[in-house]
Amino acid sequence: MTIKLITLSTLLLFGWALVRTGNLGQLGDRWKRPEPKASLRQVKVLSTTPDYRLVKHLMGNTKVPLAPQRIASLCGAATDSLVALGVRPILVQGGSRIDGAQLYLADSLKGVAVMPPDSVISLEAVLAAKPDLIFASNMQNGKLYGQLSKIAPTVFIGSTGDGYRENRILDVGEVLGMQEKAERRLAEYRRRLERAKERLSSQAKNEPVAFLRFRKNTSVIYTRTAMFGPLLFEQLGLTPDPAMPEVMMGGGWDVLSIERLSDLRAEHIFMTIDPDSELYLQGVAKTPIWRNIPAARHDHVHRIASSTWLSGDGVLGCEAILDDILAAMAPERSP
Amino acid sequence: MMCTETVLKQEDVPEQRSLLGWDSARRWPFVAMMLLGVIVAGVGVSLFVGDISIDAGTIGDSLFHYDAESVSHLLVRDWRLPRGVADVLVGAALAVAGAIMQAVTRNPLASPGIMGLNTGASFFTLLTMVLVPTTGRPQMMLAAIAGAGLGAAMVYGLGSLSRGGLTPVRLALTGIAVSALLGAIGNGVMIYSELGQDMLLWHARGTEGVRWLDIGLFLPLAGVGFLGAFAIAPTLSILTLGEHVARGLGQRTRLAKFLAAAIVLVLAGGAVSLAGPVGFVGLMIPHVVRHIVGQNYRLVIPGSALCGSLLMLAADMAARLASTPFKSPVPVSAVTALLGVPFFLYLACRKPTTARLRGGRT
Repeated sequence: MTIKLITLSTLLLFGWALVRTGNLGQLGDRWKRPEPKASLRQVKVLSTTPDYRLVKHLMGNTKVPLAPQRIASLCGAATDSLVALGVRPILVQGGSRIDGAQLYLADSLKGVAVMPPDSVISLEAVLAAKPDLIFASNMQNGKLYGQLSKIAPTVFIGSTGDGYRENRILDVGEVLGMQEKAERRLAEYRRRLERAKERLSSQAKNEPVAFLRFRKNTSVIYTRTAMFGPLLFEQLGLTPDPAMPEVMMGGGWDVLSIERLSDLRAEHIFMTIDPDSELYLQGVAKTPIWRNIPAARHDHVHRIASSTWLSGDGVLGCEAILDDILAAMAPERSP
Repeated sequence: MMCTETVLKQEDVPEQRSLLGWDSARRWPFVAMMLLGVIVAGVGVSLFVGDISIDAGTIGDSLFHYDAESVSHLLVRDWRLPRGVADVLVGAALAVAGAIMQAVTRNPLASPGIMGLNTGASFFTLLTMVLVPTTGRPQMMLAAIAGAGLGAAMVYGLGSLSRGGLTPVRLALTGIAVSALLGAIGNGVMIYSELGQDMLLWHARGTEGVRWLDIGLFLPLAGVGFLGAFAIAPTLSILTLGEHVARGLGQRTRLAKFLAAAIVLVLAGGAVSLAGPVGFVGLMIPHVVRHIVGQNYRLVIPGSALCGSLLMLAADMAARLASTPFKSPVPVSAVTALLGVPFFLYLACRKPTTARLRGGRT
């Protein structure tokens, strides 16, 4: 009897919890993303001696040579910032799993040795390049820090967590002693951002946009809290699709069921397609579900490189995204 | 199988304590028809449940006056309807697989979830995704069936190694250990190949992405499985009396067990490839059905199929209703687990005298 009573009340409790989950949505609304600090910095120069600069970073303190000549960059954020500062690395590992390399940097990095974007980096290749400074990212190479440090002084530049990717150039600039140049470059980017914002507000005011990624027989939508969310929806002031969830935890993306996909009202869709999802997209694109989305009806579906939007961590990545957006939403009017 | 009929007529099977007090088997067809009606109605109701609201008129039109250009019609006919049908098939397949396993192993805790079939099938699906990313659905289904076989073989093999054979507790323990092992290897593969998010999506989706094509693939398999299960049902009834008794009664137990294993793998593997791993349906339903109709597997098998369908339909609808406001999918396996875990605990905590199957080992 007691057991039956316990079982029954447990079941009722579970049922009640299930029904109440309906209110968790509003609970989520109360959770606001904390305002990220404008300069969430990753490195700090502790002291400078005639021989080296002592740099504090996420993995510890490192003595960086004053004028490094042979820099190996094993993370996208550092590579982007190095190129933006006009420094040519001798070896990079980079890009995304999908595109292979960072396509928007391909021209600037012509002739530079590129390691494939494997999750395991080849220590032999790094050793053979004889670097005098290594940049690595904490995501993949954290466990290799000790080994890399034996090859050359190693500084960790993690990928940007707060969505303000342009700030990475300040970190790299500080490590190399090029603060002023980094700040000038950042100011230049900010001016460009302002111009883009003006152009968008005059030519594409209030047109809702959505960023989709097709993956493994489904589609996901990236939101405000995704890596480029702040750039799109705060700095550029673009209008998000009404179907885009306001708050997402984790990577800032949400799965779009086919029904929610049919509910999109975006005038412009930016999307990237994983190699194994091309067939899925073709299947969906044939149906009225896709054709009824305003963006598809007006032929405003823009395929973009995932290595730019998803992996473009840095000033140049942000500028490449700006270019994509302007070309799609506010093309230069021919005189 | 035919010899069964001569040895043991339906009337000879002891009609043990049927809950509704009906001693005649003649009313069961009527009950089955009613259940079938409820299932059809349930699929109909499930057409109303989704992320966007579609009114009854539109749903009716989409079934009887289909307009290929209407988004709502398309959603109802090509997404919601196959999803409902898939729920029915998956629920029936899992429940029948569970019923067969409980009969053959004479173990009340046997089920696709506990015996490592689900984990094995999803492990092999993961491996296929990693090794051959472009694999089509049919191959994926075969991989899932093979994986289910591996999982079951490991659990059954390891569990039987010990002296005293496979007792219920040992089965549950081995199942947990093997599931944990396969799950851990799977996690490793997932992390190494950076497929974690993709697998998460696959797990959480349940029957959401099922299309008519997938149903077309699974339907023949399921059909063969159900017919086979029905065909060996009389033998299953006798197997629950114990292997010695069954052999003494002239049953070809080895053949029956082989057929039973093949049917279980096809049903459970196919179900996993359609809906991802969904636990507890195969555990709960056969118990409930046996409680109502008794030990006659000619009633238990179809009864499990019908009740399993209903449970899965209801669970999937609950999952969809729960996920709508949260804007993030609630997996159907979470709902079945909510129901199944208390049930599992109840089974495990029952007094030892009733813990074994009636007619089971003494």
